[in-house]
Amino acid sequence: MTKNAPTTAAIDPTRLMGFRVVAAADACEMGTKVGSKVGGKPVKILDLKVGWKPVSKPYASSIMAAKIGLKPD
Amino acid sequence: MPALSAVTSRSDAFRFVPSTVEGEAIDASVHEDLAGSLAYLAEHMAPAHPECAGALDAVAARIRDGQRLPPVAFGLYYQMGEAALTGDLDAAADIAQVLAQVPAAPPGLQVMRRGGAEAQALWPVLEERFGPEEAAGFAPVSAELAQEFETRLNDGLALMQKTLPDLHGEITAILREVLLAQAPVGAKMEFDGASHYQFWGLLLLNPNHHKTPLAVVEVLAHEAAHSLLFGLTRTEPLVLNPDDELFTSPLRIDPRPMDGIYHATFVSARMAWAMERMSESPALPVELRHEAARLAAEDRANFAKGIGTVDAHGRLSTTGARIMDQARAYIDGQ
Repeated sequence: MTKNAPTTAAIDPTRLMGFRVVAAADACEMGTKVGSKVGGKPVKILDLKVGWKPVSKPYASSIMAAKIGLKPD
Repeated sequence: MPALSAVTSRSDAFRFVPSTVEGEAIDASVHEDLAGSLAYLAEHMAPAHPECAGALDAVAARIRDGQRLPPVAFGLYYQMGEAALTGDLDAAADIAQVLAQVPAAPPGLQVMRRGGAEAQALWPVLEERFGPEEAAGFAPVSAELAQEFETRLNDGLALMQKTLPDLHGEITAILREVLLAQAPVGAKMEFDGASHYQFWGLLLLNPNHHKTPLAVVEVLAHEAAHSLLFGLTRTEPLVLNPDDELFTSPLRIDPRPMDGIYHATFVSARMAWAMERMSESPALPVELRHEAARLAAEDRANFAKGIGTVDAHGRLSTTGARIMDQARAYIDGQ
């Protein structure tokens, strides 16, 4: 593989699935940035959709001594 | 290579009621979009990395021949795209070589567990895309727990196929893998289900939840509705509000950006649809129908909370407005 060879013109994000949406959000000044991560996480628009719930009681009681916490997103 | 004008999100053709045909069309459209994106990246990588460009063109050709790729291929695409857009074509080329080795998705829905050998290719990519803090919320599950849940999942899918064949057809058209995971030891909060824009065809489920076939149907209707929205969000965002504007969510205790409120609201409408159809199904025992009706009422209440926030504060794109109008029309009985 050729490493560090000269590159061609800049890549147009509007030609790339997903990044096109972020580029459109950029244009609307939504606070996203194509190709960026914020705090190690992808921009919100391409982010995880997750349902968080309190840990169910039997499971929580069996691990009561543990001190590790998980912030709800 | 398709120009941007050829890329459509299919949101203009979207109808709220689930459809096998539409699920297959959206899946095909997402894959075609991936093929076009890979071909475009190949063109840019060709001067410095001709062998990688050839590999990406070959993947695009496989897709255009009708092959379907598993979620890890989409995750690798986003890794590669991010590297390329930040100017690191060497890193992008390395990822391209890995992506080119991903085999086609096998037919049917594959169930895998975090910690199992079958998830060894997927998990590192998921972990990188989630980021360390988010990934920490998805801990391994035992083979026994996974096996027990897979039986429930299959029972739920069979119930859905019997009572909601169109939803079953749509879901099985767009889903390829279910990854089982659970909260880490000591967690105060745990996920019950999750899906990610960058992993088309993937659901994450927590086997400690969803204890009955009806609950499985409900969570599949929920998570697949997120996936459906991802598949329809490929030309513009659903909402134009800034990410740092936070609002009360109908489905989560923490404030969320408008994109999250929008998703929760739409998903609630889809869940209401599923539970209402089940509550009316003469094929089901009366107790199950009553439980479905109770859940449907909760889903409608969540929709009402969410749509109030969307109406008051949401700046919807054309795509977002079109899709939410359909959900609202269903809830309003139009």
